[in-house]
Amino acid sequence: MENTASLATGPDGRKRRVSYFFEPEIGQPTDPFPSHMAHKLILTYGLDRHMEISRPYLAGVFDFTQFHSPEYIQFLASLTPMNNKDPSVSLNKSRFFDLDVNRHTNSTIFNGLFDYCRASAGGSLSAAVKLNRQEADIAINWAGGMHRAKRDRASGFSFVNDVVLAIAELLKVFKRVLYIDIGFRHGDAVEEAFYNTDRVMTVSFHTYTDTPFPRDGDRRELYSLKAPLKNGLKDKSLRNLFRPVINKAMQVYQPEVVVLQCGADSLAGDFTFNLKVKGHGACLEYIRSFNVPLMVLGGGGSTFRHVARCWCYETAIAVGVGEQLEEELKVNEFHYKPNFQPDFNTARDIEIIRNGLLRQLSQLIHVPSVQFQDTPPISAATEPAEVDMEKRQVTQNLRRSKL
Amino acid sequence: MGFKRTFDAEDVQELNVKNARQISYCNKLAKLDEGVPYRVSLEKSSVVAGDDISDLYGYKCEDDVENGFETSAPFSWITTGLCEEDSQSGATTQSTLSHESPESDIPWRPVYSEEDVYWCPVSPRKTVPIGPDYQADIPECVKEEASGQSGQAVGYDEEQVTGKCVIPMPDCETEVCKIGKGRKECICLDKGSIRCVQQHIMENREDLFETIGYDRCLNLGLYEMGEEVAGKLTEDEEDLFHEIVYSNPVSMDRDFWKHLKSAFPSRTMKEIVSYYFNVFILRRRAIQNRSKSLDVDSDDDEWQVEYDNTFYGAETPSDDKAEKSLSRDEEEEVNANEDSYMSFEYQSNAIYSRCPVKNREESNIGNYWRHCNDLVDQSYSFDPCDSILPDHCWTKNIDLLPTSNIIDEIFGQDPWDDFSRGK
Repeated sequence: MENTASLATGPDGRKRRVSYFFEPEIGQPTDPFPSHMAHKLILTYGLDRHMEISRPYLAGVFDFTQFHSPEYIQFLASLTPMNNKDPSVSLNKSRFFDLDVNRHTNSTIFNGLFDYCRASAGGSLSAAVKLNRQEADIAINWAGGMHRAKRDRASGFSFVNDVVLAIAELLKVFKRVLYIDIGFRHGDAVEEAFYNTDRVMTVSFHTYTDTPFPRDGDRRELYSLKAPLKNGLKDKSLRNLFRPVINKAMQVYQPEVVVLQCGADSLAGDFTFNLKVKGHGACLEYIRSFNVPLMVLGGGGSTFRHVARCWCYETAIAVGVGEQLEEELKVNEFHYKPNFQPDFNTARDIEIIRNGLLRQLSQLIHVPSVQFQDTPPISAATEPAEVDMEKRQVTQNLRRSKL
Repeated sequence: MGFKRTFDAEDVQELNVKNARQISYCNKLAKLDEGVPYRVSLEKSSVVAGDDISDLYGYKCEDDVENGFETSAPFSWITTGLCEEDSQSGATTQSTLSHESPESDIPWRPVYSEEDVYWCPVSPRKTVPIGPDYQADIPECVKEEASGQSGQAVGYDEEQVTGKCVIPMPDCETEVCKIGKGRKECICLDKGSIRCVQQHIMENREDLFETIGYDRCLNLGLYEMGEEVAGKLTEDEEDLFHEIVYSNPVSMDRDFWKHLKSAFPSRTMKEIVSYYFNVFILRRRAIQNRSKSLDVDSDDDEWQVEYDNTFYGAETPSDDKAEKSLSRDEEEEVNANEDSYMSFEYQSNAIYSRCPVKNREESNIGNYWRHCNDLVDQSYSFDPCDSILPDHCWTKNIDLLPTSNIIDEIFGQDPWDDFSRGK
């Protein structure tokens, strides 16, 4: 296996205890969620023989309000297809939903929205508890990964942020959590939720259009890594960025547990990235090889059969039989209609982002591990020498370069 | 969807204007961020203003996408580096903005510093909000207390939260990787000792030779490696070999290879080197690895182990000196069993070490005794056993020469006696 950080022949080379959560009762049979379709594939390929399968705990209002505001949850609980058109509901919708959510909410998802959230969040909570109790090495919840739901605001397909809830649960036992997000959109809500603590580091690979305005000089930025990527991102570009950055993050931050959001909207044919299932799965494969307890979550993805294929492949990787399913699942093929976009991320672009992130990470070595609350930004006075050096270096290089 | 390069002379003017606006905006941004330890690209933009504009590759947004680009701040994607690198896109420097509608009114500013700049649209209003309404509460890490306690779980029963198991965890025991676990079938009492390892290797070699045939083994060179090579030298030659190596240490700027070559004129250099690596070094490694003393240095090429070889059990070829020492042992009030273990252990280790004890420095005597004590300790850990060890382990290529006379010369009688009392 060339895509790993450790040797496959080590004592626990291929085998991990994998715990998988799936709730069959949620969702319409005629309009299944991608996690349902993935589950079907998983059973078809016999992956159920390799892992523990459980029905998740169904989270409730109490669980949701560990992060979300009570008013928001109340609103979610009260929504039905019947009152969808009520004026009062509409008012709240504009308060609690983003514009893009409103587009989504016209679908039948509404019919079991609250139950969907309960299963999604419940699965992630169950996964967290499994890892907390050391009953599994890898815990999977494809219904989870709703990384954009804010405390009192839905966004995209995310209504309840199971990722935040799960990480909060993990923090009861693990000192440091590394959250990695390879969904197309920026995992901003997760980053935001844990912005003030150094016990969670977030690393997100997403579309460049999602980049927030960074708080320059703020130490907290060191724990919120962002890789804004251009359209057409292909396997190779992602790999050249993902592996060195994650490698360094693991080294420098030494997380005790890793949470990986495997949003399939970064696959080709969905938004504007061009990842194949192979390249997408390679991320999981790489992280798995560090032998750190790992939570694997789903996410977005609009072409469900691609999503299902992707998550089935990633399940196979988790249990250690990924290679055997590559042919069957056609992981090395593009599945979108021929409208080939080039990868606008040049090697140079990737290099720049990589260098930037690696530099950020190396600053962590010098920063003592301090629990901060509302740390004000570092003033220039604290590190004047370094700043000047950098400035001088930059301007020198500028004059040399063609800019 | 595409954007044209605006690089013509006519457009430079326009570009200037746009850039001027952008730069002013950037300068405004600069005011927002004071003290930037690792983001100095704002500095850069003001430098850019003075530079030759024709070096910039600016892109104008051609299409007015749905929301309309109201560029109060200009929408230019500036990349560093040269066009040639972007051959991937099949055109010269191509960075297109999404044809889908990103938010309008987005200023572009650099995200990474140092000599590279990766410009990216960022929303000026969209910074990470801070406050109790945004951040999650961070629970205390109660790891040390929580093992087994489900009471720590907030508000719900942990048992319940792990869900209802439908298919239990598959039995991993049968599939546990066996690598790194050692010899399962070894039933030797002195498991892990040099003798034990030697025995098993020999057994497996025999099996291998039977399985793949003598000829193949020969062709594979299996008769030229490992302990087999030891048989190529006589005992005298082995002793001589050791003596030469140790008396010509590299630290004293001597070259023992030269001496070896002259000492063994009938042997080819290949044979000498083969013996050195297949026998000499390996044996030393085997002994050193099993040493319990804390100050072993595996990189020390001049580390020597001395033993006397006189603590032989009944299996050893009789020899005047051996018998003499043996009788001396019997005089002492040492448990006969224990004695045989000492000898047993010695024998196993002493096979390899017949180095002369000359050229020892004072400090090494301590090492020597300490080492002997180590071996003694080891031997006491064995269960009493009356069985005689298989002959072939002992007699194969082994004719042990006594060096007790040399030891007597160096150490005299007294320490010898102390030692033989098993202190």
